[in-house]
Amino acid sequence: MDDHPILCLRGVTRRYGLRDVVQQASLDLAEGRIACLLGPSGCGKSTILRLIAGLEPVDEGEIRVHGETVASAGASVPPEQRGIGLVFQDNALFPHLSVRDNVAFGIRNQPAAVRRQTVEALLARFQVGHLADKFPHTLSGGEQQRVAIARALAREPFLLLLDEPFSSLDGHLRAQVRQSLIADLRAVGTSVLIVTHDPDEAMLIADQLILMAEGRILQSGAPGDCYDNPVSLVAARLLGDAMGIDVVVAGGGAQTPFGRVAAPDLPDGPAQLVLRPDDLLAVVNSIHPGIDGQVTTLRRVGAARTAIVACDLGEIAVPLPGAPLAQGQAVRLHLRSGAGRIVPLT
Amino acid sequence: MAALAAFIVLLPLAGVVLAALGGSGTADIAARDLTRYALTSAWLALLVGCATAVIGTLAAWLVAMHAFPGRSFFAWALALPLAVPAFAMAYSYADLLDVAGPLRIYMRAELGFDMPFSTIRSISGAAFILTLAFYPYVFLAMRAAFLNQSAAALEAAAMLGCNGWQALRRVALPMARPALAAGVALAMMEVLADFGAVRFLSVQTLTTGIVRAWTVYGSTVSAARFALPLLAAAALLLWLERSARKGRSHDGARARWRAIERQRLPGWRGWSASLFCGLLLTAGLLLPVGWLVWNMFGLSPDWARLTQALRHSLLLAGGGAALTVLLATLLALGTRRLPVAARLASLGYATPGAVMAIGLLAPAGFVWSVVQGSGVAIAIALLLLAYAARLMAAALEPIDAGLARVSPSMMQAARTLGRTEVQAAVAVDLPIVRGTLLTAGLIVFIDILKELPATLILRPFNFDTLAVLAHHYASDERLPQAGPPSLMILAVSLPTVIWLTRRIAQARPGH
Repeated sequence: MDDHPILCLRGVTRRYGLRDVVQQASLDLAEGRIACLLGPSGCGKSTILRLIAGLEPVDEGEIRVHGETVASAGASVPPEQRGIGLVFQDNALFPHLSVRDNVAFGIRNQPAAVRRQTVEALLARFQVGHLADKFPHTLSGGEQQRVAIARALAREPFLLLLDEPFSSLDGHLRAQVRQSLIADLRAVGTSVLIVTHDPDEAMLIADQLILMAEGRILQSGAPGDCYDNPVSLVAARLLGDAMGIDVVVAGGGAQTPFGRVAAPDLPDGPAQLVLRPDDLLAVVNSIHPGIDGQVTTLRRVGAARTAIVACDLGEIAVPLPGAPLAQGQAVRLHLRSGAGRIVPLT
Repeated sequence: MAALAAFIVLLPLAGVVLAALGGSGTADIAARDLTRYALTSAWLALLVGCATAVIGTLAAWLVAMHAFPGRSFFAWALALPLAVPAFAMAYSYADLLDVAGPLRIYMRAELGFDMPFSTIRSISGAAFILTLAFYPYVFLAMRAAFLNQSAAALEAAAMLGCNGWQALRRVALPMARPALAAGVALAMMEVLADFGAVRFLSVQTLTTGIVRAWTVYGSTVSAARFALPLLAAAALLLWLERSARKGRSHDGARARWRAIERQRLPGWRGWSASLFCGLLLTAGLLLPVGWLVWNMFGLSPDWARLTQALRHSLLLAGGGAALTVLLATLLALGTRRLPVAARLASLGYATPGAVMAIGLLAPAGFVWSVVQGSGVAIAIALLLLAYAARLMAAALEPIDAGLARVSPSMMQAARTLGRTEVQAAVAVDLPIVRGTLLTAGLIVFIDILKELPATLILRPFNFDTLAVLAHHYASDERLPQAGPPSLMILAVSLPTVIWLTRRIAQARPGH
């Protein structure tokens, strides 16, 4: 993490009535990077966005921009003075203004010539230059979004917030739009915080991943690191299938059905072994420790082949890289070397 | 700002209550009279409420869901009786159906029979006339409700074995019930507020009681006592209308809206639909207006007086509309923070003009005592204030509908794009509602043109409007003379109502 984050949240809490929708949230955002805030719907991630934008007051904790407090309990810099851009999920384009005027909305204090230049440049950058004189309702969803992003960027915010930007697009179009939009955002170089509930999307886009569940921030870091080293089973499950096996840590490691797994940072006591599907290996006639089971089904999706293995842990899907297995065959499940993480119980 | 607008509505209402509680002069109006007047009002409102519910719903169901000769014309033309002041309709029918009138003399002599009633100056006669005058409220509400219904629900009903009539009774009508309640509540509010028609028909309602207590006895206290039950009834109707409206909000939330395929009414059924609509339009507009026009021939109207009254009417209606729209806009923009204010404003709409006027008399007396001289200006200002208080909600409605197009995220977007709250309202809200301001203004404009009791009570001495002029002529039994001012009101309001109804008719979900 950067030494000088552009934005930090420290112990930020937001309550609706008695419910803490955001609880003691702390995070740092580094300059010029794309961060993704990932969590299931209703976990408070959109509220964090609105707190950062200044659309909602903070009940506890504080938000700092470039080291200066912009929001704390009872004090708040209004949204128009924060220098943060926000792109709404529904884009919120002004229906009475043309695309050009929408984009120019936030920069009316600049001289007309500068304004025109900025607007033209942004429209061109986001490939909507030909739509400048059209009105929002005549645009497709993707076009509206590009205009909304251009509008937010016109003020040159130091941070751009995007609320579920790709949720309204579907299928292959979504991947395409996402790719070109992220490329454009990277070219502009603004710091970006994207809220999403799609783990694949977050893994793909993010330089920094922030995992959130039930109002709390669970983990923050590089996407690969979050995936490989989850802090808890819940955090692991936010990024994909994961299974937990109860273990007991003693002396920096835990005995598991697959042998001893190191847990150097954990105190002695009950903990969990978190397993991803691709952490396991199905082997015939093994002499190493593992869990015995039987292949019930073989699946093939495209090039990937999977065996469903019934064992003490239930039915587990195990990827099959090499040796062909037959239905009904007895196998032993092994842990790949270096795979599997011991995490504290939550 | 919003608080100011709310204050303007509340001032006269508080005035009424204070006046009623204040004085001790009980001698002039007996409690028995009060009860009798109140019962008449209630009975009349009930009769008209039922009749408008049936007629308005039937007409709306026909034009919204069926195809028959003349349908597209009737779809908007049936709203036109809104342009005819109820008192003008009363003058016309009373004259037309008088025992000694030309129509019944002709019927007795040539056809050998007479109508089964001696005079239309009765509660049922008043109910007949007010039904014709106010059914458009139900018609418009129900037509909108039927058009808003998706074909899917009716198709589902058909698949489950309902014929057209059963589909109406079991699906379309229950779905439109909130609109029916709202429309009927509006019609009943108008009945309670009406003065000109019932006064002329000698039906003694609370509103005539108020005006008489003030003009004949000069007693604010007894006028206010007549006003209190009206105020309570108005609040009740308003509550009914508002709670009905709550139910209406979620039929807009359906996933897919599809226009209803109008069902063709073949042969005699189609023609009887046309006949029904034609008769309704004839009774509500053509016949009464035609009779007034007919009576004008051979009449030499007092043009000087008429043009002066027209000028006064336009002045008041124009000024009142401008003031009301201005206040309503402030209120609409402000109520997102202060929703109570909007509810208070609608209480004003439910309140009869006579009650408003009585409520303003006490504050007026205070103003008079402080500022002496230039009395006309102050009286007119008070009158405009009464109009604004009474019609604020009518103007608020279209403006609010326009504001519904501004999503909360748009305002927030404006904030993150560097505007303060007020700047955001000016840059986003105002331009979006601009189109609706004209609609709001016109609605208020024609309502003021037709307004009688408040004008009668609060106007400066000898300051005649068209409505006041017509009322005077009619009270002096110079009925033909009452025609020209009534028709002049109509000449201004008819095009306006046509424009408004056609504009509303074009609005569809998703637009």
